[in-house]
Amino acid sequence: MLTSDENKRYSRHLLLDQVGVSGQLKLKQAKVLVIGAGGLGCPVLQYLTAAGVGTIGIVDFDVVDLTNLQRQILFTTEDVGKNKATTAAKRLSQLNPLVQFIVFPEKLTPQNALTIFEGFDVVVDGTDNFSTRYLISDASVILNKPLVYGSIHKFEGQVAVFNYKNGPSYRCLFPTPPAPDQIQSCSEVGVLGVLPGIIGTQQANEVLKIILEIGEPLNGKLMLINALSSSSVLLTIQRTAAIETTLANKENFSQTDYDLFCGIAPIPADQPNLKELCDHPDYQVIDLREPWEEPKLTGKSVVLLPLGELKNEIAQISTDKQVMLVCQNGIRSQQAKSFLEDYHGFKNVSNLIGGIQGNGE
Amino acid sequence: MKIQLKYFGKIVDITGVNEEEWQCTTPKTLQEIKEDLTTKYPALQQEVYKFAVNLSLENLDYVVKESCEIAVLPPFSGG
Repeated sequence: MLTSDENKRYSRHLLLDQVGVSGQLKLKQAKVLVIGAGGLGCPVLQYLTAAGVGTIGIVDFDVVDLTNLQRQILFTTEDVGKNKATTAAKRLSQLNPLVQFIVFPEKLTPQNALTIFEGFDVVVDGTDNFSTRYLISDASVILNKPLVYGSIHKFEGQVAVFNYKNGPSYRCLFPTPPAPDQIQSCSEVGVLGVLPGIIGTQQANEVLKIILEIGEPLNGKLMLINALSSSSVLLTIQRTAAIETTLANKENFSQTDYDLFCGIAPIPADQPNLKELCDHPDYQVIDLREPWEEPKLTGKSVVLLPLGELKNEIAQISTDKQVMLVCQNGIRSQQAKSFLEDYHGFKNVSNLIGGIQGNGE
Repeated sequence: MKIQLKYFGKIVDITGVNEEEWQCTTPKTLQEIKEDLTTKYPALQQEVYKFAVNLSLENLDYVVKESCEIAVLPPFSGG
């Protein structure tokens, strides 16, 4: 039964034959886990909250950054520096106090994923990196949870529903990730602010169709959307043996190193102390990040040189000191190291594996 | 025979065009198309991507025929 408050709030749903009271009760009983409260997660969360999904889990360890506000529409300028999952839940509770939010302000790992996923019926992938995408895919396959996938690149997006009614999984589509030095993130190549809004709204639509058992979810389909041409393409995906392989390895799931699988080198124990290098007379520390990225590096040996400008500023790179290339996660610094060694013959360069984030700076 | 190639995501940054038409003398497998693509665009060597033929994802042993439309599809990670 719906309360009189619910009857009023959801009246436009109740008018639809495909939803009605029984559909609204299905939404109320549903438990949806949204991983990543960023560009994709924000619109997904807003529409699922407004629609009256009874329980919504939000996983995000990250904090709101000023550069997020161009597209992550749940957050305000005052939220900069606050945890995304907690802040999103607070804002969403104002939109619909009838929804129960379960907040996980932590990093999703192979150790906690299965426990977190257990309590939910549908999983939504709104993350921004391949390691977590493969981790989410495998955990969803192991627990047989439908996974609503979305991802974006500049002006283009992909949407699909995986692990639904014996359909294909993410690994049936992309069995292996690209090499880390070939991956371009939003912070490096940019993204049109409205694009995650379009793709995230499509993901919310898929979640609602799954819960309501109406229409045709994108099961075995991959939807490609181009915001510049306002066009979309629907591709058919077949189920492959990748699912059986994932299931056969499920005992090893919690010990899997997804960073390693994605080619991201583990952080060595003997990695130098970045703070010391920043003032070390024998070192030149090249910060390859953009000027707005935090935390800032300071010290006499630090040179700011965003990756995009590197190729025009080779003369700035020291040939006699030890050069330490530094970025946020170790991906740009790996690209820069390969570039300087392969194209300019540098022998004195190394990079901070795992970046400033990975080394807890 | 004539085939149509459509590029997505980062692949467009490498090819510089969204789509193009190719003339081939004989039917080819997707593996052979992949080799031709790499010859024309060497930077594709380092990329991970899948092929869809006439809107259906296909393996590299699939034989491409006259007038096929081939989508060249990389994974995206952004969110």
